[in-house]
Amino acid sequence: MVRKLSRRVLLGRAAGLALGAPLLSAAAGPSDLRIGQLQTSGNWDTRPNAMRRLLWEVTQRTSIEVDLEVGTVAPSSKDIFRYPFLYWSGSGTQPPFTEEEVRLLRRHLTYGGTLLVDSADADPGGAFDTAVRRELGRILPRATLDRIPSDHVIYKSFFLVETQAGRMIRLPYTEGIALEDRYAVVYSQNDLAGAWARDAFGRWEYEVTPGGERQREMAFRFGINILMYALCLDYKDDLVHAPFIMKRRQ
Amino acid sequence: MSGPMDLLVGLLAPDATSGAYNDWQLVATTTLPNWLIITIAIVLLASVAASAFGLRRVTGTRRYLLLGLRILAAVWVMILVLQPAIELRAVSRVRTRVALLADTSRSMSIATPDGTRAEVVAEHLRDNRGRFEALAERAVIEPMTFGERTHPVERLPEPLPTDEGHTDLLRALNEVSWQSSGRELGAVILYSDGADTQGLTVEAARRKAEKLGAPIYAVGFSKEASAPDLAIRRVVADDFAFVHNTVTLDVDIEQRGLDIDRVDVTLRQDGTILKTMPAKLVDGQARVSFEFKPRKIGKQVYQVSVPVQPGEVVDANNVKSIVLKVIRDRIRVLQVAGRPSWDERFLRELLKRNPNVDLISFFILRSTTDLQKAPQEELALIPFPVNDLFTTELPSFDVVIYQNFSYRPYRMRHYLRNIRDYVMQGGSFLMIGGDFAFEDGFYAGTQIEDILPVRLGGALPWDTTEFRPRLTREGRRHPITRIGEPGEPPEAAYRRLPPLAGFNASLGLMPNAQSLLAHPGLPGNPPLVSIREVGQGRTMAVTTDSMWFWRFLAVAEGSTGREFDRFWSNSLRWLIRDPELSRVRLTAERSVVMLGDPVAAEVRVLGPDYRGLAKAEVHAELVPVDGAKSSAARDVVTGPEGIALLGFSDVEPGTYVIRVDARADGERIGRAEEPVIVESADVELAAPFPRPELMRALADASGGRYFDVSESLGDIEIEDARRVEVDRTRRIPIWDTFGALIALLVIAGLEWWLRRRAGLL
Repeated sequence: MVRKLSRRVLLGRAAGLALGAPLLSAAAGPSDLRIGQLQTSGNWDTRPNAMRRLLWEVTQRTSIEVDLEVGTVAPSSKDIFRYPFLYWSGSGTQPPFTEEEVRLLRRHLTYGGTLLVDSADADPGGAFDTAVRRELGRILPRATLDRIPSDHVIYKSFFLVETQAGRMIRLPYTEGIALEDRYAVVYSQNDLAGAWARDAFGRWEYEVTPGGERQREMAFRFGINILMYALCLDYKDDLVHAPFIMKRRQ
Repeated sequence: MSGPMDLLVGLLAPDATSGAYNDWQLVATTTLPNWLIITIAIVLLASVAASAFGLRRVTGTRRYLLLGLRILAAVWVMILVLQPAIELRAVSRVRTRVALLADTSRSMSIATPDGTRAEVVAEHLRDNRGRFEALAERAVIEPMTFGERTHPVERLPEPLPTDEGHTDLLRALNEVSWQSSGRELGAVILYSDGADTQGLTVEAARRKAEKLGAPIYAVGFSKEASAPDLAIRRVVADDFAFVHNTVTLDVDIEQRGLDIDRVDVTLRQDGTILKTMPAKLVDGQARVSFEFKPRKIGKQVYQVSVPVQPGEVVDANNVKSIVLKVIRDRIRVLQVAGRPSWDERFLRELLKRNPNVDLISFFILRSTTDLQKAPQEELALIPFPVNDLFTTELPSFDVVIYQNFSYRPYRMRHYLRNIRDYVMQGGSFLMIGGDFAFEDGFYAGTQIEDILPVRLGGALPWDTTEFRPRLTREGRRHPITRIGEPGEPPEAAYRRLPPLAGFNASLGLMPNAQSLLAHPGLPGNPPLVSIREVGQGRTMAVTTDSMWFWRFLAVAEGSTGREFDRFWSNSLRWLIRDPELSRVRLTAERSVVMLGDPVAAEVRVLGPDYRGLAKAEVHAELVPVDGAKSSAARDVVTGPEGIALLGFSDVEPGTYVIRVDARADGERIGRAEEPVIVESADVELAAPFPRPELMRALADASGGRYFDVSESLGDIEIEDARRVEVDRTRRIPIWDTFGALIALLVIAGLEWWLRRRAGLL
């Protein structure tokens, strides 16, 4: 909840109060990480505090400057372009996107945006999973949702992640849609947000099974890695990193 | 042949004197036309075949006897038709020619202890006059002088001239083998020091000699007889090299007559010593290989030299310059970002997408104040290799980008000087804004401020309000800020792009800096995009971290982000001095000009739209480098295509730079320069050492012999001519004799008798 008190925060808040800063929230710099959560017509806000919790962890553990306020944005709004990183969480069936929503989301992802899809149901083949596959097929019809290879940079963009865990481990892998050489969509069916969520009193909202707190930590690490990947792309695949990472993985 | 030949002549022509004929051949003397002879032959063949058919009922030996007689009769008839005769001939062989080649190139003027080489050759010719006279009885001697080409002469001049500017042994041998006076080449006598100036190798000489078809008697000079000299024989390098990649320059050195076995070889560029290497001379020769990395693209002059030794006959060959065209392989970019951000991400994505860019990125992923909840081995973090990057590796980058990066947490202050020096020596530096950059990065008062286009030192400069940047007067014409569609006014693109946010205010521009885009809402319109030429390098400042809005936010309004791509692509090209971005382009007609030829070049001046600009005023200078003597200036005006031609004549040997400055309508457009070397043209004296090994190879491979000029000429063996001359002939018919008639009658009678006996008549 507490953002590091940097000069930027102070100045940004002051400027925001003074001028209203219509493009950015008061605390954010123009290049800071801001996340827009998709407000679909289905059940979309299943873990209200989870992403904020993850962002707080990001500020604590990494040098990324974030806007802790997760923006809520309708997929039919051009405001989705204010958020290069979109977050689609939900459970149960999801009504189809309209054609305009499909067009905007396709444009967003094609021109550099990233979409994290997280199933609160953690139910592969269930209603949410079916809806996600259907809609992603409409948004990016020429691309396919595949397993992200275990040696992909997303598993080493900050932490060396071996386990792809959320509140549960229903699938030992994460799926994604690659556009050219970048994963524009990352899809977890292990309820990542369920592991991140904490109530107003600081208590974890959900039990994490079967791995307990270690598994929760892994869920945070993977979440941080996804955000780091969105910002740095394949940076950790650069040759200079290879010998260090190889040594630590031995 | 004399015994049998005399017998034959005595038999056929007893009235002929002894030895009058030395050859004979069988000839046909018939006057019948060929078609008739062929017809008769066919008829005879048919009659023999018919006879064989008619004899099918005859059995035993008699059949074969009859057939044989019929064939014999047919042959005999054919003899009568052809009317053969023996032709007695008196023949003599054509004398072969012997080419006497004397080298008259300038290297033959070099002194030896017994006079110049040409004088020693003349002496040798005189001393061996008797041998040449004897040779003249067996062959026709054709004297020629040669250098760049051969010159047939009545007799070798005395004294021998030494005025040929080149020695081309291969061409001389080719011309000797082609030139024909109706006589075959029997041998070549070659007088030369072997100092070929066309790069003839021993192997090539051997191949040529093997194919010549006549022995070469080579008379040469031993290396020991050479006058004292130390020379750079040749400098070998590829025609072009890649910037920042290792180039190898092989230098061949040779000395004769000097008491040295080691010498220092120095490589210079623009007068600055790059490297000095010792060369150990073995058998008077050495090869030194310089390895270095060119730091600038374009044509570069490299000079190799060895110190002049006391007593050397030629000083000029102790220095040799070459022009190396240095091109770009890939643009090496170092991107250092203070933290992951959208601005960093979209720039990285763009740079990685560019196949011409070799991107090295370092992002600070965790600061010193971040919590460490995971052990190091569970993190993918690596130490920031500050020392390697900013000392040894720094010169290898074409562009260094500090993107919202502060040096302070990494104790890098003492490396900032390296970056300044890197720029002063031709590197490029780009600082991109954010709350860790410029003033907020604590760069005020550092060596980085010395090179930045903007002045620092203000208070609380970070501003997060939105603004729409405005093109400055310079920005309207500058290639960096031309990001719109072709034909579109320069401002149009900026009007449709989303506003930016986040701004590092500054106190204005540094000297020689230009503001291309400015913040219109702040006092003094501080620069958003500014550039500067510093020393030999270039710097650029982009005082915001929201340029990515042009790539992503712009997409919401239908853009494809092209403006963002163009802006950074143009910036990169300007920073690395991409020649395609220059509006003044200079091309020397030749990089190495021979003495006496004019130094010529073409200047092309382009307008802001990169089309040829007519009537641009061009001031051109020929600037001497490294002690060259000439200097000159010209003023020309471009033609309708924006092209003007330059020419400087009577330029002394040396290294020069052609420098042009172009102006139009009173405004400076730009400058370009190109190096040119004017050679002394005397390649003959560049490496004037005798090459007996080359002469010996020619002699050995051709079946001839090598003589040192101090020895007498030995026996000259001449190839026998294959062509002969016929002096007289006499034909003795062999068909109209009495014996021939009797033989025909005997054959006919015998056949009649046999046929009768067989009951065939």
